[in-house]
Amino acid sequence: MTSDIENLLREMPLRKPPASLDARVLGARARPGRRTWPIAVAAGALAAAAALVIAFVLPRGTETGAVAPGAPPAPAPVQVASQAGQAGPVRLEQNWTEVSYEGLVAPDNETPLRKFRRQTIEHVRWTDPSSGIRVETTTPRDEIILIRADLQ
Amino acid sequence: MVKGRQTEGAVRETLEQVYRTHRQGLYTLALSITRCPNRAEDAVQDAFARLWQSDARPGDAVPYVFAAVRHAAIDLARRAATAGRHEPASIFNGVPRAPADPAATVIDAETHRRIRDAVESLPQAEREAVVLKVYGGLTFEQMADALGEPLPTVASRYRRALETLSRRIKGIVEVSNDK
Repeated sequence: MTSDIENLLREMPLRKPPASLDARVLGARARPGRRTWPIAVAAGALAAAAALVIAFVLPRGTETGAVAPGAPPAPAPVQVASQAGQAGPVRLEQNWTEVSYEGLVAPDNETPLRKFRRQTIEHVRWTDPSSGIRVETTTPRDEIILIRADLQ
Repeated sequence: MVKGRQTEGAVRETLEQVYRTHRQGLYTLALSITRCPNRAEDAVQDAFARLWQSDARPGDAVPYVFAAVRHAAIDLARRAATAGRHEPASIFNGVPRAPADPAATVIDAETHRRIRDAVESLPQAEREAVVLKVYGGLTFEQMADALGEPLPTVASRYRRALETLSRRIKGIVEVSNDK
């Protein structure tokens, strides 16, 4: 009797998942998320090394040791801008960004929106190798991004 | 089944394999909880969005994935309950398969309707047990893992669900056997 019922249940035609589900599920696999941090750490270390090199090749770089930043253990798409050919200050900029998905929200109860939180820390350091003066700024930023959910 | 510690890439491969193998079962589970096709789709996607970013190394990935989808579906269903009511959708297609014998059409349509109604009117926990076992293809051990409950509890709940269905669709099984 039990197996008869199970067989009947198995014969029932199920509602099929939409074709778009594959793209939505498997597409998210390739999307960058929190787990990009190992790459970003490597990028941060590379940027720190680049800053060291720039500092050492500067003319009159007698105080280049002050420029060397410690490599921060955090994710970082990094940009290094310098004026290596001049005697001016060296500028090192590092950005830490993390994007996390926080689910669906419906502020007006009608339009479903996907909520993402992007947290960014911008760290900029200017160093004047001739005088050893160093200026640093750190700017945290927390942004909420809402994207209309594609519900067929 | 995932055994031992795996690399991140291997875990993702396993998760993808579970999705491809159990796509229908996962969607049916989500649908049986949310009672809404769009939310069921969202639940499966949300579950995998979290799974892709998780550092967990599950022993058996199948119940792990089913549990993630179930939690996402419950979460969405709760939020939907506060957002407003909607017409509950069935896990079954509205149209039964066309029978070879035209004389059997009425019986099949009636059978379809009675089974659908019987399943839909089960308590949610029993309906989930039926979906996990029959449409998810999980073993009782995997069901217990997915639901986070003892195996005897899950097994007895499943049997109770079948007994309830048996009472509600009494006569269909005999008709089916006679054919």
